Amino acid sequence: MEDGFARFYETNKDRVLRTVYVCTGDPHLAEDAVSEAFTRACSRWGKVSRHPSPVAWVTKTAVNYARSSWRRWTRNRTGDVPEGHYTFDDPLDRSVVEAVLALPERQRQVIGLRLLLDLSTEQAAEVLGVAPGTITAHLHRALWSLRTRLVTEVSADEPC
Amino acid sequence: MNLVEERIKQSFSPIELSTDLASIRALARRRRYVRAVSFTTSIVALALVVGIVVPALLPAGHEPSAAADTLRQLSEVAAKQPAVTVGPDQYVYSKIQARWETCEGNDCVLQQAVQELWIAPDGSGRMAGSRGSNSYSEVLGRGEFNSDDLTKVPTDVDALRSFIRERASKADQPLDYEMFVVVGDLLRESFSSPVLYESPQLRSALFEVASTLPGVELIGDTTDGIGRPGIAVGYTEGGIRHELIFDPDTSAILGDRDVSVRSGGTVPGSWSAYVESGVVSSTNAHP
Repeated sequence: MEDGFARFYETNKDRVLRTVYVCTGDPHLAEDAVSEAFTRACSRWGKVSRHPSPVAWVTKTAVNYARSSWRRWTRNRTGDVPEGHYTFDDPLDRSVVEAVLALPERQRQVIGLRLLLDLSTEQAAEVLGVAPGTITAHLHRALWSLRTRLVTEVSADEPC
Repeated sequence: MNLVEERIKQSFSPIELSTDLASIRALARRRRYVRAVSFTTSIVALALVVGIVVPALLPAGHEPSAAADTLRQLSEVAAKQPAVTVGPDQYVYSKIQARWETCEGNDCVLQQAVQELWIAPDGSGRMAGSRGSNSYSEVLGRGEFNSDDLTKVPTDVDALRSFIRERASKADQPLDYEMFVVVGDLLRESFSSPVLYESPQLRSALFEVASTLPGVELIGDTTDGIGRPGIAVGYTEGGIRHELIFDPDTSAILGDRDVSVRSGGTVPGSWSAYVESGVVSSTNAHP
């Protein structure tokens, strides 16, 4: 049972973190929430392991956790983690990360669930409680927006 | 997969969770221990105590109607509180304390955060405090504290209910639960934001809205994270009961916490206490 959890944890912890980071926009909050969600999964692994998609369960738990409690409140209040400005190590392409985080919340969620977590359209729809067509539409809009923005940035950077 | 999708995946790929498996397991083991202790304690209590004492040891009677009565009483108390005016050169000072548990391998320790805020009506001010081993102090300019436009929060009960419902409906959560969360957020805001701090009518209306939400439970008399007596209401979602604790004499929010429904124990990392607030004349002053 525990070996099963260990495999589950090692396989999914980073991509769940990336997804929750995209959903919340706050790396510190995302780390806290994902650690909490995996702890809850470990506590009740017998049940969670029988879930149709344990990784979706953990992700949804983490996102819900990040939404409530004092963490959400202090984050909303200050807009950012105070001094130290906690960030992850430099990603490969900061402009892409910033462009994704600038998307509306629902589009960020869909980018996280579909691209970073590799959930199917149906699984993502289940997590967000929406129709699969809604997932497809938001993903389309998000990618269109990102293509436009990133191509514009590349063009602007080109030497004259 | 097209180029943009590949770039997105690659750009986020260096992000890795720093918490190791041993720490996750250590926390989970501690929760199982808490659950076992809680269960054993209940059995012993039931074996030793009979009659009228027993119900007092059982989880509080979470009757929705009792919760509604309590929230309406808090609404009445809030309405009787004196209005406060925060002048343009004044600040609402507030102090919040929170505690949570972290583990490194099998070594689990309690962490603590303290935050003090001084917020002027124009949204400027200062925040200071500590989180874990990091302390900070930061001055914020005009408008920087106002992540929400709180002046748009209505004080009329029906209008406020609609406002909260609209905000809650965007959260992709069960609506009544999320409305409870939004009410809690606004009550927390009323602890330190000048706009809401000044308005006993708004706090009264928030309790009134909460009293009409299905699913809110009365937890009853309790103490907050720093030991102050209060009365609590809660809402259970996903096996966790989210509780808000109030001073019954003033209706002020004292604290909040998450409680595991199975264990009856507070989930580590999930309580905060709203320690103190008041109007002061500078960003270094205390009430």
